Amino acid sequence: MEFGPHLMLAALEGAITAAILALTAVGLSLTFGVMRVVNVAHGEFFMLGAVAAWFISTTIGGHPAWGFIAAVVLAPLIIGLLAASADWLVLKRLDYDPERTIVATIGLLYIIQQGALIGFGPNAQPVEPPFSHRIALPWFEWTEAGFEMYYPWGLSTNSYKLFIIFAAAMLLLGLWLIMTRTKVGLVMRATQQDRDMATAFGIPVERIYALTFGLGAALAALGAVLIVPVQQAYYLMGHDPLLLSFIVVIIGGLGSLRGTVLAALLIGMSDGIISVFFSPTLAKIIATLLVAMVLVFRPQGLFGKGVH
Amino acid sequence: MLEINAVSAHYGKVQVLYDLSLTAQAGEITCILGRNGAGKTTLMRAIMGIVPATGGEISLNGENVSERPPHDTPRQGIALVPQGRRLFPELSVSENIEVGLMARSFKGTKRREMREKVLELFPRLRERLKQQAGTLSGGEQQMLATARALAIDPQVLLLDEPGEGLQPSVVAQIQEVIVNMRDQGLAVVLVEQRVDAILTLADKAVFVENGRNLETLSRADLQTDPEVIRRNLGV
Repeated sequence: MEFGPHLMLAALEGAITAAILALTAVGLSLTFGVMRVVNVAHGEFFMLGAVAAWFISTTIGGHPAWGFIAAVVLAPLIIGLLAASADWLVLKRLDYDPERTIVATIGLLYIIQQGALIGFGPNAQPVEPPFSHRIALPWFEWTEAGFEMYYPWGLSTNSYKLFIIFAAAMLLLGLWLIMTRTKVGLVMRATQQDRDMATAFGIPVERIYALTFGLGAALAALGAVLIVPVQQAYYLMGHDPLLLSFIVVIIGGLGSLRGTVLAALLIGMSDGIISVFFSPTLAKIIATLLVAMVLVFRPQGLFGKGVH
Repeated sequence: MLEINAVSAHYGKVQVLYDLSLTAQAGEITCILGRNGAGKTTLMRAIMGIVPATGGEISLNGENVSERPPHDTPRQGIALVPQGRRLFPELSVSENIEVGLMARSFKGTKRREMREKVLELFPRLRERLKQQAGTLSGGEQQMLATARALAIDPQVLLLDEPGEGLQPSVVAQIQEVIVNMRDQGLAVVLVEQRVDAILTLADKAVFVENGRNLETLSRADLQTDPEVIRRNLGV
């Protein structure tokens, strides 16, 4: 395959990585932004989403679409409730102290991971996509005969992969509308900016924290439900999303949702393209190097305004 | 009527308020006076429940509000204009007012009435509804902090040094609003350091030192001997 079509294919893979990464990292960013809690267990909520999707789809059986629809609705809800309970049981009791909650979420990471190993087992499990049609992609070239469109051999994707990008974009748009156009969003933004004043104006801050922690985990779980049909559910699959989410959140600016989405696009696309042309390891090295550069030269992130 | 009865408060292990008592009557401006570090702001925070009262009782119209969760305090009709304004800086002017309106879950006509009422008090805010609060001038920020608190439609209005760092014309406008609110029957509790403002506004002055009551004087006492303010404030 020539360079152009090859690059297009790599960019498509990058867009899928970026879409899932944006959803997962926005969850992490939301948790930090509103609660000032660095949730080290975030990747495990992603893993739980994938495991829940596998469990729900195998339990329901029948056409994979039914299992997928049930997983899209139920998995984020269950994981969100689980996270909200963890907030109530652990984080609230630590008074959301930034340092102690890091240690607590490390503990949570191991509890969830080992719990999944016991309940789910050590083997990776596939989940069937709800639909999957091969879509040949066209390429355009300027030849002596004029502008020509043709379908190069091997330049194709499948409909479910395109659906992932579309669904993630719609979910992010929905989240943006919730944050900017609804009362819940206003209350969350007010709490993010001044916890004491939020309390002084009748906002039940602890309930908002539980909601935020649950929503952050639900977003990670949604990302996992979307990606698990093209990957597999596995009890150690939370590591990469956690690392990449931290990279994205630091580059984007802690607590900045807009910055997080833009950084997810940057890191996801570069990860996809570098992985296809060179190696996934090189992609991670470059992303980590970028974080180091951002931390040295612009600690508040590329789009952040600094921590209040 | 707001009654503060032998209230104590701590920051961690450090006690800041010691059995502090005062009453704020409806239709009256009660000034809290004291030197820096006397515990005035802590008292405001304790009334709001942001700093828990570790002893004593805070009650509004005979109902104990200090036993309720802190986010319930504004729902009882107590509103705070904090020191340094403490607006939600990245929210717009309109959204800051909305947070005030949401505190008592105002809906429909009542919500529109309250919003109109506070915007009529501060017309300049109406011109800047979409502007981020953090980008307003100091005077406009103070107007917004006051408007946000009044959007609660409070029975008790707590103001912590509202004139701090503002130009005289804005201070005069804020004072006019405070007097109007008092005349409409609100109980106003005002932390103030400026002698002229105290003499103009105070119906009663409660002097606080090291977190304890020092003395309480009526408006007549203050007018007869204004020097008592300077002596107690050390200015």
